[in-house]
Amino acid sequence: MRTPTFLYTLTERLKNQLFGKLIRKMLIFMVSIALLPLVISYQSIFIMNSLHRAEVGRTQDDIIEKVMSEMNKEIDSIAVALQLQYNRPTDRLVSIENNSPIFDIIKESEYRVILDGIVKKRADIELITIVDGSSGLQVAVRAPNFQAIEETERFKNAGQLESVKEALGGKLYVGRIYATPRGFMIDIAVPLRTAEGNIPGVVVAKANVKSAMQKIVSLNRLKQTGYVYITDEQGRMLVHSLVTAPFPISLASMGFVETLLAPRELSPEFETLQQYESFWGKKVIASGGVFPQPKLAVVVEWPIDEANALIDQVRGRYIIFTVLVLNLSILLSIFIAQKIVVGPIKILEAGTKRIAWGRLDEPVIVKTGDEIEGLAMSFNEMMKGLKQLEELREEFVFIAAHELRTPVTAIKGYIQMVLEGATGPLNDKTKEFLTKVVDANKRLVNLVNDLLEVARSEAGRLTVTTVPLEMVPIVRSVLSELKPLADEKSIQFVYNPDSSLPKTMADEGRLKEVLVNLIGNAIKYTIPSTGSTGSPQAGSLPGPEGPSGPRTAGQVVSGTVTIRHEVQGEKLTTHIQDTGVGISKEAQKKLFEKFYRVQTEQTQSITGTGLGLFIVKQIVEKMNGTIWVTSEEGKGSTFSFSLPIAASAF
Amino acid sequence: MRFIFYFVATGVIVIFVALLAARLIFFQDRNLPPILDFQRIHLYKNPTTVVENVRVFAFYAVPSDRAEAIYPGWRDLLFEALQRLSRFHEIQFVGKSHIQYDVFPEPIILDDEGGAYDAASPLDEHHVGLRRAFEEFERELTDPAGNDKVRKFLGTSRDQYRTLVFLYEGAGAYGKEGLAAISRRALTDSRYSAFGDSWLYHQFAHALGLPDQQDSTTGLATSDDIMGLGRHRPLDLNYIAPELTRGMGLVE
Repeated sequence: MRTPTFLYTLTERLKNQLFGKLIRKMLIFMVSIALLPLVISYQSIFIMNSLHRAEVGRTQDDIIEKVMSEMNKEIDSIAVALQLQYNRPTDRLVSIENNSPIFDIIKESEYRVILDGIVKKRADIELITIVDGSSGLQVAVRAPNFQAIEETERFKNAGQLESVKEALGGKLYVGRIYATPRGFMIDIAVPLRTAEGNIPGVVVAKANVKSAMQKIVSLNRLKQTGYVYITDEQGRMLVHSLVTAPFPISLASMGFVETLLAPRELSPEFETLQQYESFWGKKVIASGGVFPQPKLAVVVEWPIDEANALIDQVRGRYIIFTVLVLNLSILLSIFIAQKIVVGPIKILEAGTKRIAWGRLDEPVIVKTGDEIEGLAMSFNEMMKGLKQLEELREEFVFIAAHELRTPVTAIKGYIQMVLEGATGPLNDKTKEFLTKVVDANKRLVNLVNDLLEVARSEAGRLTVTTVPLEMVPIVRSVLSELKPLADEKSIQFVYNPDSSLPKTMADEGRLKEVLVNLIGNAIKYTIPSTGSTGSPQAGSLPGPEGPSGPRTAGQVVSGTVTIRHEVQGEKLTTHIQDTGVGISKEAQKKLFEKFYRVQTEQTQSITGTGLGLFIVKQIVEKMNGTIWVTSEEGKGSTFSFSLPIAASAF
Repeated sequence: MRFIFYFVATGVIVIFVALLAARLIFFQDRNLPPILDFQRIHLYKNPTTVVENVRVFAFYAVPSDRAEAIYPGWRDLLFEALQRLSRFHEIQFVGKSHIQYDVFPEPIILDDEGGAYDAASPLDEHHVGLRRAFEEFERELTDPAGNDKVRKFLGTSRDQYRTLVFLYEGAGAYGKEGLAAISRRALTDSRYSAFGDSWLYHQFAHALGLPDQQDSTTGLATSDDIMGLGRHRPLDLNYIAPELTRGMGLVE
């Protein structure tokens, strides 16, 4: 997969520029430390969240408990209202004679009075009947809002109804709640007991509990938006805290209500506190409970917006605080690493580079007042020691070279005398051997001279006196001097200077030294081979008075050394271009170092000390100039040096 | 500038990661999967016939010898009764089954005289004579030579369960799948009118396949709902027992 360019650039920048290795280490360390409060914060939020959840759960459970308790009270109060003490000894309320019920003990009117007393006390009773236990007949019926049915209901047989059977067994019967157009009804039946404890009949009532239930849920709400609702056994919503209109809504298919009403015991793992999307499409925290008889689901739902308002606020602050701490840690780690550690280390690093370049008189300055400053001071002490050693070495080289020059010069002179016959005639063999001694001695003299020059330079004893000079005559003089050498290798000089060249500030002797060295090298490193047949080009060769003299057509040329000048601002640049072997890029970097020599197959036979270019560089720089090289292997090299133009030229 | 850029970039990444982590840790939805209610309201113990949309076509049926004694406000009487029936039905099925009703604008004059159809009392249920009358009527609907007006009135009721309701100008009551009939007197006579609506719905419930809730040997009501003892109570106090609605696919 390819990394997007901008991302790559960003990471590279972060990696290389801002986050060096040390800073990265510091960053990781600081972030690791900063993550600790982050973890603690998260843990705190987690605990806070759990506590809040528990608190919400507790609040909701309290409401459910309260609702259930009030529901219980309501049902109990209806049952209590139905409890009648029947003070006549009997085991039946009516007898059946000729298929007609005959009141045994008391008249129908008396029953009516009893029932009137009950319905006056409880307006929620829509229908109340007294059922004779032995026949199952409804002996008395009272329906305050539907008096027309009292007559038709009377003597209907209710003996098969569960409510009647249950109450005749001496138990309180509480039926399920069911929906009618008038409201939600509940059937409650209680035994009618005599003083002897007989149960000759039962009292059955249909009570409209809608208002009571509505009141209970309306009074039990959670803050502004939390609500309670109750569903019947079928999942039909009966009442809701916030809405009083009838609900033709079934919540039986809702997971939570369905689980609560399932005809099995709730699993111990079932959490009564749930979070889900409510029937009305809002996310809520909900708790639920089951009212046992009649079986009802009581559910409290609290929209999360309100339930978590405070916790969300606190959580948000926690997160912002943590993120700020983390960011601050990152910034601090970068700052500390940069300011306290990386900066001073970079100064030390620059110091080591200066030592490598031999600049031992520039101390490392670090002002941190800590161990790193101590390290920098030790570093400076080390530099002082190295400088002393360097001075001793230079002194040694200077003295050694100086002391060597006298004997080698003497050797040279005496051998020359011997060769010239000062000691008598020499046979050919002796001459041959002595010639080799002369050559070796010559190389030794050169080496000693170079060493002395280097030693002078390093000891600051290299004297240069610059005066305004014409460059052209000096170059011509050097070319003339080196012509025999060039001719030996069939190398052609090309020099066509501009007559209007300005004067330069230079030391004539030193400038010649530089030119001899550079042009000499150009000749030396142009390897003779079967060259092209050159033809004199108009204006391309020195004039008749020039050092090379005209060449004739057909003469073999193995290479060319071209010298040209160029005015660049306040500098006069001289280029010495050859067609020699060229120098590799790698070698070019070290070319001006002491004792460095380009070692290739082609140059291994060429002798030299490796000090020439070093000395040239010292001289040019001493004359406030600069020197450089451009080269390509196999195509030749161009050595260039620039010197300041004399002020009078402007 | 570069420093501010890195600071902001780092901050944004950290905030994003922090919020993501917080979201993962603290804001998980623990939704209970809702149990989808695939079951539809259907005829009692007959899931193949869906009755979520019931289309009631109501008629005022008059024996031939009572054509002169047509009840003047029969149409309004029938409309109002059907309105109450529809409301009751809506409540009992929690809005999952709806009734749409129409009343045929003219009385239907039956072929025979009242004596051929009448039961002893308006509350006499499942009477053979009344059954014969409506079987005749049903046959006529399929007869090409039958009442064209009625056929047009019935039209086609696609995706609806068609039920015929008759207000009979005589005595008796009858109900079977797709058909319900009650005596006009059950709605107007002061002796019955208090529970006349219940009586109508009771017969209509038979049209939906619901059985009577009574002991087959003693004939005594075993339930207090509209299919049992409740049929003689006002509709406002009535209900259908959950055992029966469950048999019609109401999820419980």
